[in-house]
Parts: sequence; C-alpha cells; structure tokens
Amino acid sequence: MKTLLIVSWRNVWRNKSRSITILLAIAFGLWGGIFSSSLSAGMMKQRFYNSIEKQISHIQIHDPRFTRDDDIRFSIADAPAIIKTLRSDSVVKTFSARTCCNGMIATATLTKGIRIYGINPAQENLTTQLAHAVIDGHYLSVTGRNPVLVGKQLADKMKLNPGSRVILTFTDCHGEIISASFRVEGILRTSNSMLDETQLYIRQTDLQQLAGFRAVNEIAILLNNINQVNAFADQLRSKFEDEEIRTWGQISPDLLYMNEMAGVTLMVLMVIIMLALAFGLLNTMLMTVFERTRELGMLMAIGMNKSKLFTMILLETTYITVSGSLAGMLLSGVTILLTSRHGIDFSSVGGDSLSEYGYDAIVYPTLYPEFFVNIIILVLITSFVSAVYPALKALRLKPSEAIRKD
Amino acid sequence: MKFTRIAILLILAFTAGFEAEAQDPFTILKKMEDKMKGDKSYMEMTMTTERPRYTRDVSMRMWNLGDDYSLIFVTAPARDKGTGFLKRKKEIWNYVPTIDRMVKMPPSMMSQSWMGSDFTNDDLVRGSSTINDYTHRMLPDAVFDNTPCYVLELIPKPESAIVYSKVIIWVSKDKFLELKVENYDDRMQLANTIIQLNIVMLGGKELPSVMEMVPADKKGNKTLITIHRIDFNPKVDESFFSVQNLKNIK
Amino acid sequence: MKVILTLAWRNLWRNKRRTLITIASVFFAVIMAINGQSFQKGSYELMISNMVKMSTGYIQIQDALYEDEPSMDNALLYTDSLKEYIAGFGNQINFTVPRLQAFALAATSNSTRGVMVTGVDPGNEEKLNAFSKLLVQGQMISNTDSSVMLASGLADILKLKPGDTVVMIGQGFQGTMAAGKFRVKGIMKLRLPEMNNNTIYMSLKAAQGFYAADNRLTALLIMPRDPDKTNELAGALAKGLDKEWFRVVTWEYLLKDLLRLMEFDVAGNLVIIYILYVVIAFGIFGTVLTMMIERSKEFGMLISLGMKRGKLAVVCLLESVFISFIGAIAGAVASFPIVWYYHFHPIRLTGQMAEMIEQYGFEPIIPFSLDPSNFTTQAWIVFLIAFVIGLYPVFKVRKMSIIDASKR
Repeated sequence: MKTLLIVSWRNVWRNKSRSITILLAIAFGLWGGIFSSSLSAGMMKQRFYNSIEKQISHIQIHDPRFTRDDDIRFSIADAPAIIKTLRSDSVVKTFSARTCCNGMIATATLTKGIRIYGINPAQENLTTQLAHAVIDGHYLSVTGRNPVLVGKQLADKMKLNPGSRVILTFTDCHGEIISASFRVEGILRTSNSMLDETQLYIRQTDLQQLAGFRAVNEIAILLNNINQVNAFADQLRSKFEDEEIRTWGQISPDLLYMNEMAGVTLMVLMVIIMLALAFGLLNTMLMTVFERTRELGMLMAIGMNKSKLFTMILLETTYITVSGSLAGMLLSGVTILLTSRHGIDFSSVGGDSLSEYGYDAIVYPTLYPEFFVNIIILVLITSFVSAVYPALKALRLKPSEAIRKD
Repeated sequence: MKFTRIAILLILAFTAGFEAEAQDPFTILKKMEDKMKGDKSYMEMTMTTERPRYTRDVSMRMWNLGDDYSLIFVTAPARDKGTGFLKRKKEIWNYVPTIDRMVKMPPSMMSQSWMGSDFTNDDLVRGSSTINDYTHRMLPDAVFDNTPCYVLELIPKPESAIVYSKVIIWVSKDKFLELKVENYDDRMQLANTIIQLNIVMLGGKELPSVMEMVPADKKGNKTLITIHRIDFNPKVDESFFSVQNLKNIK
Repeated sequence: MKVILTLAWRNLWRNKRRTLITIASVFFAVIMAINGQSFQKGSYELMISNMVKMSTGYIQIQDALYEDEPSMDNALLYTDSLKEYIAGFGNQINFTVPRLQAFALAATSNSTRGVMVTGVDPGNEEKLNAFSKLLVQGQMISNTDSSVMLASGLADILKLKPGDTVVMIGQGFQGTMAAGKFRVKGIMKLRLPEMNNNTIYMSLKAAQGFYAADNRLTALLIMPRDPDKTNELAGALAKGLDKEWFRVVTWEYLLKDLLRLMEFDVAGNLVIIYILYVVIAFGIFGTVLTMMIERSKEFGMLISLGMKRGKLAVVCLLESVFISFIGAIAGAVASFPIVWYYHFHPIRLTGQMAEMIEQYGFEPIIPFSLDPSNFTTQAWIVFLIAFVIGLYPVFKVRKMSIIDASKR
C-alpha cells in the first residue's frame, strides 16, 4: 500500500502540466462557488441594511392608536418599562425612542405638511446611522437653539440651506396649535426620497419642551441577530399587551417582498454556478482519464493488476482534488479577507446613481460555514465521480486495445 | 402669504385720526397695538385670487372681535354661497350648507389653502404678531404713491415664530395709513409685497379700500381684497361667535 | 486554406470522444449562462411588472404643472380630441386607466380625518390589477356609482361599514368648495398600510362632480401592448401633445426609488454572472488544456514530419473555433426549450414565502425571460471565452520543442 501511495503521488507530479491544470480548474471552481456565495450573502445583508435597517429598524413599537392617527398624545404608556427591558436584554443591539407628530413647516414663501421626529441624536445615530445621511451642514448638535434636519427633497422644494430659518407648527399635549422658529442645521439624503420630503428631525428635548410633555410615540429596535426578530417581537408582545409591536416585515410588506425575491434570485444563480462548477470539473476529469487510456493500457500490459491500478487512479485523484481544494480554499480565504475589509464598491458596476442616492453600495463578502462545507463536498463528490467512471471504463479494456488507443 | 399681515394692516389702518406727533417706532407701534386689542368690526368684501390660468372672486361678510374671534360668511359665487368659517382662538370650524354639516378643521388640514387663495387655514388661525416680537428702528422717510411716509424696519426676534426675517412698513405721515409692507425671507430677499390703495370713507374713517398682495417669486399670482363696507361698532359679543350662530347666519 | 480547414475538421472527428467532451464543456457553459441570465432577467421583469400594475402603470399622461404642484388645479382636461389622439395609437395601446386623485376631509359624527380620494373607472382598474380582489366587505362601485369604497384601515378609524354615510369636504377645481355626502358601498383591504389608512375610492364621474372638475383627470395611465416598447410609445405620444399643457412620463421616472433599490440587485447579479464566467472559463480551460497536453506527441510528430508550425497553429485555432461554435450553438438551442418551458410555466414558490407574496397580492412565481438577446449575448460571450482559451494551445504549438514532445 505504501508503494502505491508514493507511486501515485509521484505520478501526479510527473505530469506537471496536466496536474496543475486540473488543480487550477478545481481551485478556481471552488473559489467561484465560495466567493460568489459570500458575495451573495454580503449583498443580501447590505441590501437589507440599506432598505430596511436604516429606515425602519427591526422592530417598532407604537401605541395602537398612533398608527392610525398620529397625534402626539397617543404615546407609549409603557415606555419606561419597555426601555428598561430593552436595556437589559442582550438580544437588543440598540434602540431609539422618538417623539413624533404631524405638523407643518413654513418659510416666507411656502407651507408644507410634514412629520416631525424628535430624536435623541446619539441614540438615533446608533440605530439608523442618520448622521451619515447628512450631505450638507451638520448633524443635530447638542448645543444651539432649535436645530432641525431636513431631507434634500424638502430642502429643494422650500429652498432651504444650512442656516435657513423655518417655522414649525404642530399640536401640543393639550391639542393646542403651537409654532416655533427653527434653524436648519443639516440637509439629509437617504435612499428613500419620499421620506426625505415628508420627514424632518429635531431634538427630542426641544419637541418635548414645546409640546409640554415627555411623550415617547415610537420606539425603534435593532437586534444583534436578525434571525431573532420574530421571537423577540413575540416576547415583547406577551409582556406589553397594550402596545402595538410590529416587525419590519409587517411595517413594510413591499420591502419584505422585494427582499425575498432578491434572495431567491441569488439562490438560483448560486445553484447555476454550482452546476457550472460540477460540469467543468466533470469535463476536465473525463478528458484526463480518457487521455490516459494508453498509459493505463501500458501499465496493465506490464503486469499491474487492475485493482491496484484502480486504487492508484483513486489516490491520484485524491491528491489532486485535495491539493486543488486547499488551493481553492486558500484563494477564497485571501480574496474574502481582502475584500471584506474595504468591501467591493458596486457603484463601479451599477453606476454612480447608487451612491448618489444615499445608498451604501459597498458590499462586504461574508462567509458562512455551511456554504463552505457544502461547496467542498460538492467539489469532492464531482471530482471523484468524474474520475472514477472513466477509470472503470478504461480498466475494462484489454491491455492490447488500450495501448493502441490514441 | 401670511394673513397676519392683513390683520396688522387692517387694524393699523383703523388708527387713522391718531395724533401725528410721535416719531419713535416703539411708540407708534405701541399705540397701534393698544388699538388692536378689543376692536370689533364688520366688513363686506371681495377677495380676488389671480392665477396664470384663471381668476376667482369670492365675496364675503366678516365679523371680527379682537384677535381671537372671527366669523366669515361667503355670499358669492353661487356654488359657495352660504359657506361659513368660524375662528375661535386656535380652532377653525367650517360650515358647508350643501351638506348641512359643521366640521372642525383637523391639524392635518391646516397647511391647505383657504378657499383656493394664497392664505392657508393656518394663517386664519394664527394670531397677529405683537411689537414685542420684533426689534424696530426708523429708516429714512420716503414717498410712496405721492404720499410722504415714515419708513419703519422691523426685525423679528429669534424666538418669535415669524417666517420673515425682515419687514419694512411705509406709514403715511398725514393719516397714519399703512400704505406698503415689504416682507423679506431669511436670505433677505423680498418674499412678498402688500400695497394698500384707493383711500375712501369707510365706516366713518378714511381708509384704503383695496389691498393687493403680490408674492415676489410666483409670476401671475396675486390676491386682491376689496372692501365695500365697514361698520366699526357691530352689535356683537363673544357669544355671537358660536358654532350655532355659524349655521344661522344668512 | 481549404486543406487546412478540412484537416482541422477531420482532426475533430478522428477522436470523437475527446471532441465531444470538449464541446460538452462549452455546451454546458452556454446552458448555464443562458439560464442564469434568463432567470435573473425574468425575476427583474416580474418585479417591475408587479409594481407597475399595482400603482403607476407603464406610461402616464399628466398636466404639465402637476409634477411641481400636484393640486386639483393642475388636472388635465380629458377632451374628445385627446381621446381621439390616444385612440390613434390603438394598435400599440392595450388599455388606459383614467384617475382623479386629491386630498379631502372625511367627517363622521364623531371624527374628522384627512383622506386621499381616488376617482377611478372600476372596469379599467380591474384590467390593471384585479382590483376587485381587494374587496373584503360590501360591493364594488360601478362606474356610474355615487357611492364610495373605503380602505379597511380608514373604515376602522372612522368606524364605518357598508350602508353608513360619510361626509367629505375638500378644495375643488380652481378653488371652489367641494362638499358631499356619500354612502359607503364597500370596504377594500389595500396592501400598503399607509394607503390602507387613508384611501377612499369613488367612481371617476362622482369624483369629478365632487371636485367640480368635469372631464378632468390628474393622471391617465397607459398600458402598452408590448411593455418593452414603452419608451418608444411614450416618445411618440409626447410628440403630438402640447408641452405647455401635457407631460408624458414613464414608469422609469415614476418608480425611481424602487429602481434604485433594484439597481443594487442588478449590479450584484452582474458580479455573480462574472464569477460564473470565471468558473466556466476554468472548466473549459481544464478540458482544453488537458486535451492539448495529451496531443503534444501528435503535434511533435506532425512538426517533425515537416508541417510548418504556423500551419499547425492555424489548424489548432480552427479546431478551437469549430468546437466553440458547435458548443455555443448547441447550448443555445438546448437552452431554448428549458427557457421556453419556465417562461410559460414559471417556477412556483412554496411555503412561507409563497404565502407572504400572495398576501401581498402577487402570484408567487418566477418566470424566465424569453428575450432573444439572452440567448445571443450569452452564446457570444461563452463562444469568446472558449475561443480565447483555445488560443493558448496555438501559442504552445509555436514554441513547442519537438524533442520534449516526442518524449511524452
């Protein structure tokens, strides 16, 4: 047996070009599979982040009356208890408790209805990265009098710049209409231009002071693990029965639809890549073994017994496949490591419009162990099956015929 | 367009007959403000809204009690006749005769235009600003419409909820009528101009009967208010301005 | 030349198995590429089609000023001459959907709320997106009806059910007061929560009456017979319309936000397809190279017998061309029935995801795109890949040392 091991190994490297070719085919096939699956996973994550996490987070809590009729008085009664629960549960990454109401924004020339969000600037940024959306001016600062952040669409319509003065009007806790002057501190651009036109942000402390009470109307929660969203939402629902607790899918069914569709598409493309990988390997292996018919015949003619020959072929295949797989894994590991730090900027592929519109078009390939294992198994199975079958065929031939084969 | 401007202007106009001596802006405006509170009036007027594609006239009768109460009854055109608006402090009620219904304006409607004009519902509700909302100073005298005028510059204080960043008022020296107001936005560009013309006898006083409001940036847009009649002592008190009364006005 | 061609061709068939294996590598590659592309395009097209049907239509005609100021004053006049003009495109247009949409105040005895009134022609809305499926209570309005249908969220807020009356006040055309009492005929459950909380449907005639906007529309949706020709149709329509009064926009403009979201997917899928090409390339590379290695003895022999290297190189090249060509064509032809089948019998999704999609109002399917360019583009690309790979042996031949070759 030991001889066979050594002989097989030597055989492999005797035909350097052939072996290297197969090795490369396996390595790059493997790389293709692993890298594309990591890329897909990264893509889905990024997509989710851009379209969902930055806007609606994972879970949102409101008073049930608020979702129907956004009056500032419909606040979350259990807010303090909820916040306590969120702070203590490790499932929760971060959350933002907001005060909101409908109101109007007015300049000297135009008045428009909008929704006012009173936020805690630091908390909000942790939850939705709002500070990154600022394209002009600054994010809400802790000092200064009545700063406001407006979306670009709104700023364009109302001709606002950082420093512009606007009057915000809304109803306070007694149902009375109050107005106050605000100064535009920054202009935002998110990937949702409709929200950019209808939402603006002020400091929660300012809003609460003007409105006359310390209301919290909305709590947006971000979890550490997206897979726990439904479970955690259920947990909250059983604890806080009076409040309306919705997951992102319930808040935005259209985004849920699109997300699922994108996922399915990627999955099918992955399958296609796998098939391409398998066929590529199959062909390469077939070619190899058929080409060796003469060589095998020679060996049989000089007396090597068939089972030993078969074992030799198997061993050679093993060596090459394992080497190829190792090379492939190394290659994948290196490329993923390199790209996952800085990400791949899709704007070069998809055009500048992606990043222009508040979309983070950088994808960070993410490797999931399950994919890795599946792909390697696929490669191993394919290599062996495609090597074994023709080997068996070759061995069935009579040595004299085999030698004459071209 | 801000209705507050009309409120100030119309009421400043009532101060005709005021002694011509005081020249410091605070005194002038203070005396006008004293006159503003507690005034009552009844007016018949027509509001003309001009747009590039059409012009629309709405005639109405209006009762005012100070700054907090107003009742408006539309008399023309036919389709809108009988429509009523009631303002009580910060609330607006709307009566629609065709469906015999009284509706209170919800906050979501406040930014909508009032009767298709340049005013919003919010303008109706918003009280007029007081002199304490501004810092003021005198500018050099000027002549407008062949009349010598005092020119006052008013700058809203940062905390006041006024959309303009500067207001310039021309007040005629002889009759203390406000002839022209220029409102500036926060980039110090002219936002709109209000001119008062056509001085006639109304309710026993010499007052301009036509007020023209022109936005600076919208070509072809203009709103005119023509006052046909004023009574400065109508028999009204707070109880007059009730939801019930809105329905019964004819 | 003819000799070389014949030589190359005969070479191929001299060793059928080897040739077939090589052709197979190209063949499978093409099938993978074409199916991948068709699938991806198919799902993209379906998404667009669903979104278009649900809200904006493929083309919209609006008043020129409506975009900047979406008010009732900027509603277009749907004159007979406009109708005739559009009818003139009858062979390109499948159907049109007229709409009048504006803000109003809805009041019951105990609450008042801002609502979005949409005046529709129920028959045409039905053609657009099976409108009637959304009805959950009561009945559909007809196009002469004076009753209204409420979105279910709104009905809950106002506590109304079929048979009740709702009062509406709004601002009509050119500032007139719009007011009316309406009977609730039906309740519809709309898919988007924001829309479900504030939409009221009435017949187009009733809406036009309410807003004193006779013959006016805020938008006329146009559904072309061939969605791929949308831009051409939009351009043709715009040519004959006065730009002072009308504006023609397409779904690409109306669904801007959505498309941007999808651009990301398209870019990503493109990258994945590039990776596919890499995998394919190495598959073919492996095959071709192994073949060449095994044939090096044959080549060595030919050269030592006197064949010019150049000529041999050309022969190799031609063999490569033939193989790539046959493989590509065969792959394209073989893909056709697969794509055809999945175009008309799309992949059906099942389970939780399917439920969710159905709830949203769409069929849980993903069809393959039957666009011919999928076939031609992919076949070409793979052909090129195979061809380029086939050039490698050509170079090797030129440099080949006869002695090394004969040693094998």
